[in-house]
Amino acid sequence: MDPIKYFDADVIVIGTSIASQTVIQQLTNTNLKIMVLEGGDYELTKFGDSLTFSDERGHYVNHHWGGHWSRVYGGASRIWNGFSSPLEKWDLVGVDGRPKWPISMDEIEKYYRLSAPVMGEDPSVANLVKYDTAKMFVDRPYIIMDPPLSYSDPKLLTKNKNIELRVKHNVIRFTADESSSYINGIWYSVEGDVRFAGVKKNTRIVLGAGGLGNAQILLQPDPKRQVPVGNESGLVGKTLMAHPHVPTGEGFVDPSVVQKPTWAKVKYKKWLPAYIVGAEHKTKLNLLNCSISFTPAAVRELSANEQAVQEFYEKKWGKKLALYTLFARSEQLPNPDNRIEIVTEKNAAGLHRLKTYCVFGARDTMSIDATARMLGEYLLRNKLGVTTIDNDSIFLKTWGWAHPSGVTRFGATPKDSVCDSNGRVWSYQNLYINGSSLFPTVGYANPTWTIAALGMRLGDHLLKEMKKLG
Amino acid sequence: MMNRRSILKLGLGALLLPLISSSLFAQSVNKSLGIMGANPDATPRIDGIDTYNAGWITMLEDKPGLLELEAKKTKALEEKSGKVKSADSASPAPVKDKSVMGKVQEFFGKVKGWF
Repeated sequence: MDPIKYFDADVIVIGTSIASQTVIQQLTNTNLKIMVLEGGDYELTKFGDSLTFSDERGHYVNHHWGGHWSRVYGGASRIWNGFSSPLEKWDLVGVDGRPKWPISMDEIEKYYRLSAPVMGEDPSVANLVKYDTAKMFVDRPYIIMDPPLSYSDPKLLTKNKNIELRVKHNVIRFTADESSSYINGIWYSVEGDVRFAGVKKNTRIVLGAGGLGNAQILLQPDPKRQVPVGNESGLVGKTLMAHPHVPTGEGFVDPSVVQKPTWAKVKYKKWLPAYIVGAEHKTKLNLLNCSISFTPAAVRELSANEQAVQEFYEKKWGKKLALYTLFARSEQLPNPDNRIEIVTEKNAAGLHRLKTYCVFGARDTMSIDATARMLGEYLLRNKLGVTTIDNDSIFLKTWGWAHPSGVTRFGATPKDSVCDSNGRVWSYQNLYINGSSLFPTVGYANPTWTIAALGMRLGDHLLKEMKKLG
Repeated sequence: MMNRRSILKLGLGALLLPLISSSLFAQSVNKSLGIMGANPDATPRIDGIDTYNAGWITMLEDKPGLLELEAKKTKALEEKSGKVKSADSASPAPVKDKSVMGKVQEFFGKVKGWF
């Protein structure tokens, strides 16, 4: 493939994960010329795999971030297990000093509904957004989405005549015009061969290169500038967050605890029973968002202690109780000390590698402990179950799923955010971002569905913008 | 100089002060919201919840019953494993290691035992 001097397109989309493909989906039935640049190949290669290795510090190490970040066509959607749940209004409003989201839950809910089929679900799953916030505990399950592994099928993109797909094109960094208002060029590499292409002023660029990948590109130094293009705010790479996960204990519970919830009138397919604390109580008790799910415990011989507890409460309450494992998936507080930086060494594609720092704080783990204890008390008082608190597990063995968020967060003002409410980088009129890197707070659940909702919202916004341009 | 009039005034004041002091020095806040009652964190929480053996969240009142039942279960398990052990002991004893190294180790084991 010959190097080109100009990327001639109305919209350039960087990346082929759900973050990018949902944007493209809203633009496909138009005459807009779309160019898609994917860093990886159609299948994962050694070269592609080597690009995501970082120097990882803190509670997420041993290629944990890199292992959940894939330089291949379809991106991380190729390795996602499908667990998801929508955010709630409480996640967006900035309780207790956490940054506010610049958009309302009503707007996100609309796009949850629109994007549910994209995630292989019925739009009714978006009903989970609103619940009775005055309840102490709400049975708010995880939907186990069956997302289109079709994202691994490039024909879905290339069947559209107005889409040009280029794989093995790793974007390194952007260049800007003299006024620093427009992106006017892209440095990229093809299998390590570094090239440059210009970008027209009216071309819109959507960066969807992964939660870490988005920030990595905006942190690459420009020899002609004091700050990298895109990091004028100085906030790129700050407040790295993910989701602490840990088993909190076990319990003998009534079957009604794990039955299918009906309050949201959702057409469930595959789901996992889970409970959250109602929003009013979370605020009052200064908790972070945390859900606790129930999975049947592995069959084993019960100890004398366990046999006694089961028999005692079965006799006392006059009902059968079954053994379940309780598992917390939780929110991490946005902390500027948790961050990514770049190091001198470059990867094979010519990007400076990342160094990640991410540590759980006292509130992260105390919220898990408080929620698990409250749930235990709630079940006990309502004669629904008797559970344990595994202190060692919560405070010594908490680990996390690397859902990199917060590193290019969007917000209401350029002072406290990298992007505006549409995901546009504040300094540039034609550079947009989509992905979990936009999230100012992370809620407790896998971000993929929210990424899809934001992607469709950005697609609609770009359509309006392009119409204005004619 | 104290005269009869000023002595009468003082006496009247001493009589009236205790009667009107409650309204003179009263605070303007609602009496029902006393300082001691305002902070819910200051009120001790007596809820009857207990963290029992191995981290079980249980009712305090259930503790004696649970302990009693657990003792029974432990005994039953011990008896069961005891039977299994005695059944095992009926099997022939393992053949002793007759190798040179085995004997050397046995000797040093004995020497160690002397100290």
